Amino acid sequence: MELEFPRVISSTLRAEFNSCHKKFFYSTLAGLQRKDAQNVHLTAGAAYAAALEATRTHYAIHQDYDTAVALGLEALIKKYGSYVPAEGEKKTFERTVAAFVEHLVVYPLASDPIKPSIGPNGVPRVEFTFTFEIPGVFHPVTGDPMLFSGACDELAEFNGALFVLDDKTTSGIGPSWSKEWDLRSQFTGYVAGAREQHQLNVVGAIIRGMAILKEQCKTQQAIVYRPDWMIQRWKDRLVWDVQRMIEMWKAGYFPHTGEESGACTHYGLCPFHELCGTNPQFEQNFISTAYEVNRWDPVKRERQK
Amino acid sequence: MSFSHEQLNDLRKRVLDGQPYTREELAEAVRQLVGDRLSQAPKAAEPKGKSKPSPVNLDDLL
Repeated sequence: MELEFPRVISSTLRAEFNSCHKKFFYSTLAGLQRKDAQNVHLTAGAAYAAALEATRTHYAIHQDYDTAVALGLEALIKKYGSYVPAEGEKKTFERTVAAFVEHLVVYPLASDPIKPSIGPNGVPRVEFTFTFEIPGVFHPVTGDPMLFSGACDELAEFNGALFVLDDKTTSGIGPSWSKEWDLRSQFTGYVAGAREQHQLNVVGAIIRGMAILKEQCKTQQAIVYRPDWMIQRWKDRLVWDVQRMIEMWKAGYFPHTGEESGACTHYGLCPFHELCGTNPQFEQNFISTAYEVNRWDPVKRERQK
Repeated sequence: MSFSHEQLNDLRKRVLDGQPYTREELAEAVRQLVGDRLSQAPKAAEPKGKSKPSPVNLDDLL
């Protein structure tokens, strides 16, 4: 296994590290991905996000509904591709299109009070990205400053204030769905990034959930705020987390903490569930049979072979 | 008229295979799908029976 320590940390990598150090080791440092990796949740989520991005970008500039939704459907089709999920899966191509349609019905483009904010050059801030240096933390191999990077679906304006907006697909929305985001690190990071790199006074995040069900789609929206003290706490722990990653890299020890956190069964099943259940003596054989090296690039947000 | 899964998958196939399609077709598909969704919108809940609030006897509450 050839290991690489990432130069850029994202919310996803950090969450992966905290959910299970061994998963971080296999997925990020070794760059392993299952050969049969296509995942219905990621496929449907990416296709839905692509549809909304294309629609919003065009509509924000031209206010042309027909072209905006046509571009949205086209983007969804191209992103979902010809993938056919396993029998019984809810997030099929047709249901993902239904989710896009539901979004257009529930949040009409013309009257949605939450709109993309417009940047100084007149471009709507859809797919908003940021990168900043993590203070005092350096790459264990190159010595370069470590970076934190992120991308949210939109930097939105609502009631005269700026919010990051994130659309999430899910298989169900329960009564505590909106509570999931009150403290979620991902959104603290987005707000911190927008403030840090762009000096924008972003006050919080709006999360729009879309439950893709067999017969219908359900929506829910949560609005959360991020005061300065919460952002400072997030930054302090980011430094601590990345320092722990570096310490483990130097020690060469990434324990199987998913055995306590429950990460082994999150999102269906961890892609390394079987590997971790294999006698270490056969680890290399199992890896060469079932995995390929396909590293995640947190800036491009895609895996690189 | 509703937009069927067959029509949607035909459009999908043409987009993915690089066969001819137009943005008007895509927009029309979305328009029809939105129309279908709106026509399926759950009706407002019917009032249950004709019950009226009963007068409360204050003595019963004491």
